[in-house]
Amino acid sequence: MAVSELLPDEEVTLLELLDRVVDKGVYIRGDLTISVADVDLIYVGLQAVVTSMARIKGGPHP
Amino acid sequence: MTDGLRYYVYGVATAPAGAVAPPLGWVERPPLAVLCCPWQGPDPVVTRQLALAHARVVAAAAVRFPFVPCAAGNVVTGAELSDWLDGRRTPLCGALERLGGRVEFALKLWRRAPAAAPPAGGRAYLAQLRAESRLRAEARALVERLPAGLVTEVHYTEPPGLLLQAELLVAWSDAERLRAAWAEIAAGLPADRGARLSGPWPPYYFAGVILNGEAGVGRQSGRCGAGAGEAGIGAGGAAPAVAGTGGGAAG
Repeated sequence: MAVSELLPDEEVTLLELLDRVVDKGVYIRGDLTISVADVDLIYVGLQAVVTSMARIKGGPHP
Repeated sequence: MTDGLRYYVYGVATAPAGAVAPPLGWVERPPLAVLCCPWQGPDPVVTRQLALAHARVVAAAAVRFPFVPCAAGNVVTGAELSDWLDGRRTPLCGALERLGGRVEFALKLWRRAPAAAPPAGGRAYLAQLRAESRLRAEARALVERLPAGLVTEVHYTEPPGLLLQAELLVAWSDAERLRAAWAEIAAGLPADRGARLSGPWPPYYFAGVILNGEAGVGRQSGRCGAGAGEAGIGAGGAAPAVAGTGGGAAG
């Protein structure tokens, strides 16, 4: 599976992305309050996201 | 990790982990390793840019090794990180084993026609509750029509405005099979029902369930107004420069 497949290949709303990466996932400090800005910019075309991830190297997941 | 530095945390892998390029780095506390980067300044404001940058780094990690994704915006001191790793070692190791090689999908089902206003009478109100309960049961039955063995785990929630949301954990080798199976089921949906399958995602939801507990899924967030701070991600160049707006709508 490629990185681009984990960034959905369809257009998703910013709110959908925020729902996944802000509202879900592990948080370390229980008292952490997250401020979310620019939610009025609703639509984000994830197809447009450059998924080159040269910063992480190594082989694919087995 | 008691050096007073603060870290922006992406998630947790097994030590020793794969090579990464600065400013990304690993804070290792065997058998665990935390993917993070140094952070300076106040706590982050989660902007579109930060959320996308976070998603990209997590996705890149998750395709390369078992990875427990953190939510966007976790900035902690080294001491806090050490305490957390020490206190959560067992569930973190369990999560890496349970989630490794798996991805998640979110399946939302809703009724297109708005629900009728609550009736005033007690009997009518109860009838409406029964009708809604039946619709939710029908939605759940649709999810349960997915082929046996395809979904590793499923969790159901009932967010406001939806009949049902199913969080589906699947082996990523089955991701396409899940899409195809759901497309077949969705083709038979009544005209007044809507559905959207979103994914595959790194297993944010299931990691949250394991590490935060059921009650910890869906944290509170404060919202600033538009333009209220465009905090860059600590990973510097990892922050995407994408500002394009697409026209994709859910549904």
